[in-house]
Amino acid sequence: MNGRTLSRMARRIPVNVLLVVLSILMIYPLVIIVITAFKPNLEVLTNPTGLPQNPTFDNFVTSWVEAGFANLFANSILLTLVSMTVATFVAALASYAIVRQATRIGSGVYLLLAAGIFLPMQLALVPQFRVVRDLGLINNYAGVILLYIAGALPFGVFLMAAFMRQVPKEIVEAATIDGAGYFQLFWRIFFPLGRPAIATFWVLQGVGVWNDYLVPQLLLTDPSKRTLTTGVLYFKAQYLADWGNIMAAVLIMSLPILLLFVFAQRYFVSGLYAGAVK
Amino acid sequence: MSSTRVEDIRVLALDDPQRTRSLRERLWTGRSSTGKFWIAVSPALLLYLVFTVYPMLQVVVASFTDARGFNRPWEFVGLENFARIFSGDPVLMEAVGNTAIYAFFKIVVQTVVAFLIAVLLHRQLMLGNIYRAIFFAPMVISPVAIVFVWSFMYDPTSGTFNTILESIGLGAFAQDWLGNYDLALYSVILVDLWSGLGFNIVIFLAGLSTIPSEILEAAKVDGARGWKSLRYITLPLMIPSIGLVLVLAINGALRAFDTVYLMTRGGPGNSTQLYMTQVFQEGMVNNNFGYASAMAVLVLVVLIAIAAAQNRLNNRIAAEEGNR
Repeated sequence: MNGRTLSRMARRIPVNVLLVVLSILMIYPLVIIVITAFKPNLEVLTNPTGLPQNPTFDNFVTSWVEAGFANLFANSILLTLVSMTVATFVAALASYAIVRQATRIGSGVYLLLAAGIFLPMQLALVPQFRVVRDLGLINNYAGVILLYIAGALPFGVFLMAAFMRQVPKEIVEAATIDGAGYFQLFWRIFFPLGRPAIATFWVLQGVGVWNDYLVPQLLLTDPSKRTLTTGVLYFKAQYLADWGNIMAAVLIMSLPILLLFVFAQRYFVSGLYAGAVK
Repeated sequence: MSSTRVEDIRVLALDDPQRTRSLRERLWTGRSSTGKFWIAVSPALLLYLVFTVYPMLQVVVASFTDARGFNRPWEFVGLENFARIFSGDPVLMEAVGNTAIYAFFKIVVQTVVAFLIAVLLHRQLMLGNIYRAIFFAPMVISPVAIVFVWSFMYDPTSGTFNTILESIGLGAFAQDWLGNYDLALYSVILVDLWSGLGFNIVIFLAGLSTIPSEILEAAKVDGARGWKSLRYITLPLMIPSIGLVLVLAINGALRAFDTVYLMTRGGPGNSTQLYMTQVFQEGMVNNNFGYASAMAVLVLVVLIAIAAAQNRLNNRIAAEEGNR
C-alpha cells in the first residue's frame, strides 16, 4: 500500500464518519421498534432508549395471539395478491393496446389514465365510498380490491406503456406476418418483455396496498376482515401505552416489507425515480 | 416460431415497400385494430371511470351544492362554498398557515439535507449500498408503523427525546412534544422530514449520476476541488433536479395527510391541522361534503398547475440528458 492510497483513504474518513452519524440518526427510529419489541413492559418505562437488559419474546406471543395476526396476515396477503395480479393484467393489456394504437385515440386514452397519478384520492373518498356502497360491496373484499385496482392502474399504465414502447416495431410486424393475432402478440411478446416494468409496479404499488389503512378502515368494518394495518391500529387503541406489545405488532407488520425492500431495492429506486419524473 | 424464420419473413416483407407500408398502417393506425384496441383497454377504462373519474366528478359537482352526509339530496348553491372559503373560514386559514410552514420546512430543510447527503453518498462504493438502504428504508414502512414509533419517541414520560435530554442534563428542555400547542406542528413535520428524506436523495443521486465525470476532472485540473467544485460545477448542473425536488415538496405539503391523521388528528386545537386533513375533517367527520368538495377542487386546481410545471421541468431534464 503506497502513500497515495493511504492519503486517499484518510481523506475518505471524515465523509464516512459523517455518513455513519447521519445513518445512525436515520435508522434510530427503526432500531427503537426492534429493541422495544424485545423488552418486558416494565423495562420499556425504565429504559426506553437502551438495548433490552432482559430480552423476551413474550410481546410477540401476546401480540400474535391477541391481535389475531394469523388472520390479519391472511387478509393482507389476499388483498394485496388479488388486487396486484388483476391490476397487472388489466394495466398491461391497456398499455399494450395504447402502444399498438398510434393514433390520437390511443394517446388520448393514455393521457386520461396517466392523469390519475396526480389525483390525491383522499379527496374523493366520500364518493368512492358511495359507489362501493351502491354496488353493495361494503364489508366485502371485492369493494376494496376494485378500489385498489383502479388506484394502481394509472401508475401501472404509465410504467408499462413506457416500457412497451421500446419493443421494436419490426418484432410486431414480423410476428404478424408469422400469423400471430392481436392478443397472442400481447401474451407472447409484450407481456414477457414488460417484466421489469411489472416488477417495479408490484414492488411500489404492492407496498402501497399492503401499507394502506384508510380504505380498509372505511370499507371493512367487520373485525374479522381487518388487515394488518387496521388490525394494528385497533390493537394500539386497546393497548394504549403497552409499548412492548405495540412495537412487537409493528415489527411483525413491517418485517415482510423490509425483507422485500432488502431484496428488491433496485426496483424501488428505479420505480420511485420514474414516478417522480412523470 | 423459430427466430430464423421470423428474420427471413421480415426481410421479405421489408423488401417490398408497398407491402410494408400497408402493413405498417394496418398495424399501427388502421381501422381493423381499433375494435381490438377498445376491447383491450375496456377493463382498465371501466374500472378507472367507475372508481376514480366518476367519484372525482362528483366532488366537482358537489362543490357547487350543499351536499351533507351520504343520503340527503344535494341542492345547488352556486359559488357559496367557494365564497365561504375566500371569506376566511378561521379553521381553514389556520390549516393553510400550517401547510405553508410545513411546505417551508419540506422545501428548505429537506432539499438542503437531501442534497448534501446525496453528494456524500454519490460514488460511495464500499458501504454505499448499506448507507442507501438505511436512508431509503423509512419510505417503504407503513404510515401506521411510522406514527407509532414516533408517538413512542415523543411520549412525554418515557419517550426517547425526553429521556435523552434528561440523561445529558438538559431535563429542563423536556417537552410534551405532541401536546404542546406551539410545538406539535414541528414534531409532526420532523416525522415527515425523516420519512420523506430518502425520496429526495433518490432524485438527487439520479441527477448526480448524469453529470459526466470528465467535467469534474477537467474542473479538478483547473484547480476546482471540494466546495469549489460543488458550488461552481455540481450545483449549476443539478438545477433541474433541485427544481423537481422543490415542486415535489410543495406537492407533498398539499397532499400531506397520514401523519397528522394518525398521530394528532389535527390537535391540540387545530395546531397541526393541514389542508388535506381539514378537507377530510369537513367531508368525513363534520359531514360538510359540499364545502369539503370546494376545498378539494381548489387544491386540485393547484395540483394540476404544479403538475404542468413539473412536466415542463421533466422535459428540460430529458432534453439535457439527451444532449449529453
